[in-house]
Amino acid sequence: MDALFTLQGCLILSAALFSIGVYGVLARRNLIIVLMSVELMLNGVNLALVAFARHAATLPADTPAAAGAPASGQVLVLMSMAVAAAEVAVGLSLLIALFRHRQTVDSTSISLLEG
Amino acid sequence: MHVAWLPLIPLLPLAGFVVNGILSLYLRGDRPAKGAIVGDSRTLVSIVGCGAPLLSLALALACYVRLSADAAPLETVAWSWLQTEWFKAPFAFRIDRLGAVMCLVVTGVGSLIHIYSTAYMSEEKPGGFARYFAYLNLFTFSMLVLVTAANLPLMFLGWEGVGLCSYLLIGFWYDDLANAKAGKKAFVVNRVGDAAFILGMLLLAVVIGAPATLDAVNPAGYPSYEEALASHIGQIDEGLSPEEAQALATDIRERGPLDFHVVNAAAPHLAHGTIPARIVATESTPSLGGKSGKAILAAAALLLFLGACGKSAQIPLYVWLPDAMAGPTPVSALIHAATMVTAGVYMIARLNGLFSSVEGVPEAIAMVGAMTAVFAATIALAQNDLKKVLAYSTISQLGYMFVAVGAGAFDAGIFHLVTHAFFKALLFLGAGAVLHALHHPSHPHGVGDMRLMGGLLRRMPLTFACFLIGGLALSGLPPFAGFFSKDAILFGAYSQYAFPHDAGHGPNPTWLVVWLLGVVGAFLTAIYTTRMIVLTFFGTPRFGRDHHLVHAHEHAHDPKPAMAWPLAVLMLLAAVGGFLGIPEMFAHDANKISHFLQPVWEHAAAAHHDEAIIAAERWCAIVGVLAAAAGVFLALGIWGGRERAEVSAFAEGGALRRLYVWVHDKYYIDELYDLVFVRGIRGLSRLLWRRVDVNIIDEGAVEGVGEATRSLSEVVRQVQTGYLGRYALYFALGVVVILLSLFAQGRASW
Amino acid sequence: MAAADVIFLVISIIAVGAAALAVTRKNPIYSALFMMVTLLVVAAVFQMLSSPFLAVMQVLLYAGAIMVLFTFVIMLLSLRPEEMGETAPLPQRIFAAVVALGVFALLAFPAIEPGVPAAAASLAPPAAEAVRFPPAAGTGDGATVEFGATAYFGHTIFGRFVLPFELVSILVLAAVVAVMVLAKRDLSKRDVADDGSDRDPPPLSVSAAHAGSIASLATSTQPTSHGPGA
Repeated sequence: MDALFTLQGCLILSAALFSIGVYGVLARRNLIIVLMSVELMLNGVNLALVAFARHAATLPADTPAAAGAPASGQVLVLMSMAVAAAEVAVGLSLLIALFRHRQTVDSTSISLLEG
Repeated sequence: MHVAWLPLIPLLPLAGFVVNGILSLYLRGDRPAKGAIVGDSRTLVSIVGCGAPLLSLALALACYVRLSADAAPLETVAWSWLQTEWFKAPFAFRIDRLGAVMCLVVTGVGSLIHIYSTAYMSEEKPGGFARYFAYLNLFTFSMLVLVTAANLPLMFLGWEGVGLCSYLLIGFWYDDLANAKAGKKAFVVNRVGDAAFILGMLLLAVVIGAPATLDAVNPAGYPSYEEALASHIGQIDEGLSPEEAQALATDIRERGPLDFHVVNAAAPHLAHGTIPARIVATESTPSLGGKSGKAILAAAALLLFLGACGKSAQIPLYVWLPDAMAGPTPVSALIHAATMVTAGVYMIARLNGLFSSVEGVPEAIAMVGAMTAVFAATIALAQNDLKKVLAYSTISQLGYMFVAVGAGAFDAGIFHLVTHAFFKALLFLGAGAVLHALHHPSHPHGVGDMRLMGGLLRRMPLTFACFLIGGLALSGLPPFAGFFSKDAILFGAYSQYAFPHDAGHGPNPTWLVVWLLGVVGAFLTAIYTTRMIVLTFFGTPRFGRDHHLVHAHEHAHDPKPAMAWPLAVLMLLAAVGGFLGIPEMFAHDANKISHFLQPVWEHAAAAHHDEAIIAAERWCAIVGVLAAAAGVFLALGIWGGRERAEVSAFAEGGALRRLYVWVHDKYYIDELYDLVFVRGIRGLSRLLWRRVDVNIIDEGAVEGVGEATRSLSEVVRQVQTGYLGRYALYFALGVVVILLSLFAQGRASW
Repeated sequence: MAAADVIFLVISIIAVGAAALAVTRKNPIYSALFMMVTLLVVAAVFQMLSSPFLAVMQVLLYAGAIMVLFTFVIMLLSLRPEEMGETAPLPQRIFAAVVALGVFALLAFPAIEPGVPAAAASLAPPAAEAVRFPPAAGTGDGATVEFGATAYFGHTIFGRFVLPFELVSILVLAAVVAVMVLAKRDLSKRDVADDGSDRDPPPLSVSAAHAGSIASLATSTQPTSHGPGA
């Protein structure tokens, strides 16, 4: 292994961040932390996207992987950031509404559809 | 010969039905009859109601004139109707000589009865009056469709139409529950026969096979009927020449397998295995192979015969006809004596090629007819209601017609159908005159009990004359109409015994039995006819304490002209109608109706007359007349001298009394049917309801499905905890599964 | 092993470590802090991947706006320990770890598949010397631009991807409305809802979503609590 800062390296880092996010979502009951774990997963994906975009730029122009619009991976990341921001805003406001109602942020406390 | 206006014959009464039907809707309601408008509306209804059948009569006469010059049938295809890949039944009308005779009977007798009805029903409310004539016109339409149809499905349309009208008219006075029930009974019993009719028709369609090549519709490239038949010509014996086969194939393709002409032409070949059943095989309708045609053909013939039994009130389906007398009397005359009930006879005569070619079926028809003739006559002996006597008499006479068509004497059967239409319509209309004369507000539709009559001779001489002539004709005494036709039938049965066509097998005793039963029936017929006339018209009135009837009796009189004229015409016809068919023994070649109808029986051997046959005919006639005369005198001896209430010779106790009651109660056949069929079906229905429907379907299937769904859901519901973490877990597991499958796929392709 | 590789290794260790700590802390405020560390080092990786604009956005949006929002909510709720939710039972955590490891394995194994040789090439800037793009329409002089150049990025997003961009802004707008509705107290109690939202403009305008969420929070909290957002 002579180089670490490669597409493979980036993908492994991204997979690691994503998996830690998965663990957080599955193992935690505190909804704030669950939300943060979701952000972590999103970040992992963003990282993979940027790495792929960068990698595509190194390929010869006639390769299929390089044929898409240049920088489209980065554009996608920007949009995903915007969506993530919206998601967090909505999620947190739900959380506040929930807390007002139940005085807790435990996900197991909201197992019913009724108020 | 193509005649475009043929459909008009049935369509004119249909137009009458539409007009009168609309009028009846407009006039219905309980408004009291009022002045000029009501008079007008009745006149209008009468004109429309009687005009339609009279116009049809004129057209039928035109057909008759053309057909007597040239026997080629008049036909027209109005439009195509049922058409599939292998089946076709156009909306086609055809009038051959048989059809012309039937049309003349239906429209002729029908018109007379329509005219009679204008007076008979004049006390109905205007709405009811219009409704009555609407039904009557609808009946005429249906009956004319029945007799002018060129194929079985179209005939069935008329067949069902007349059944419907019969139901509607039996229950015409539906305020009385008994009438409505009688209509229902007629309808239901007829359904049994109709179901058999349908099955027979379908079997026939299957066995005759099909024009797979109606040119427009041959998507699968099946062989044409001609090709298929040609490929079999080599295998079949000499019964059918290639040219004949070709002609038959063309006929089937152009007219459809259920055309009467086709059925009559194909049936003998199918029965003898000359051509195989359904020779055009398609994917959905495989060939049935060589010899199976015979069995299917026999089944089809028997089913159609059962259909005829239902419509023509033969054993075992006769029970509805006596109850059908609940309708207005002209209806009984038209539908339940002259026309509709003869439809079965007509159908068998129409399909003579089919019925005469299947072994054993003619004997079965004749035997059923003969048994019905005697059986119904015995019941008629013990009935006290005027119309009931006539009803059983009708059943009995229809039995004779079945004997005739069974014995191959189709012309005799149709001849008897015609003369019976004359004299039985006469008797019914005469009975209607009696009822009309004896009606009273307490008995709005008249009193039919003969025990309460007597002595009407002085008051109603014309009506008596009707009964006398009608009764003599019914009894079969010369020279009235019934003698000739009944004699022809009895001789037809006897000659099947004495001079069988197929001499190889020797005489068949069945036909002797049939003939003997026929003679016994003639004897019984004379007895009950005489009894009926004597009880009604002779002696002194027997009203007991019913002062209403005494009053009615004092004012009884012969009917109004509108009723009297049809009676007079029918009287004439019943008196001289028999001269249409003078048998060979009296004059050579004088049997007009037989000659006229000869071209219709394409496959019957022409009658031949030698000395031995004419001698036998003479003996038969003498035996028949003697039996009838003996019956008349016996009846006169029993009932003639009696003055008052003991009108039944058997009403005095002992074994005879018990016999009398048994016969009077119609051998308890109705009760037996009630027990076996009505209660049986009710019990079966109850069983199906309680056990099958409630236990199996409701509790088992319906609730079971619900229960199964619920308990399964109970299991699956455990997954739905409501905990967010669980759902995230399922989601993650799903992701893992998707990744795994992608991974595996990728491995495979790398 | 080049300098970029060393830096990447260190950054990766920090990122993974901080992430692991973030999801395991009992107190959410620690989680938020570790989370912020992770986000910042991911921003560094973006920078290394020649995407300076995204790196800036990562800092501003994620580490800045989003995490600040988290912190703000945590402060707002100021949870007592019993309100933070119980720790999940051990079997659940083990199971979660197994699933997470499975996901990691399935994601990572294809990544290190040796069959794709180009994937092992270094992504450090010197290796990308050859990477040149033809100029996008409207960039002027026809000179080629380097990968990740912000000007080119801007042309792309407002040229080819302008429609998705607008769709995203509609989404964000919808989120703003949703947040306003969700976070509002009972609508019948106007006196509480009215007491500041009308006067106070949104204190931050980093992004529309951020502004919306802050605005919505403002409707549901005391005016004095705006501080942490700034």
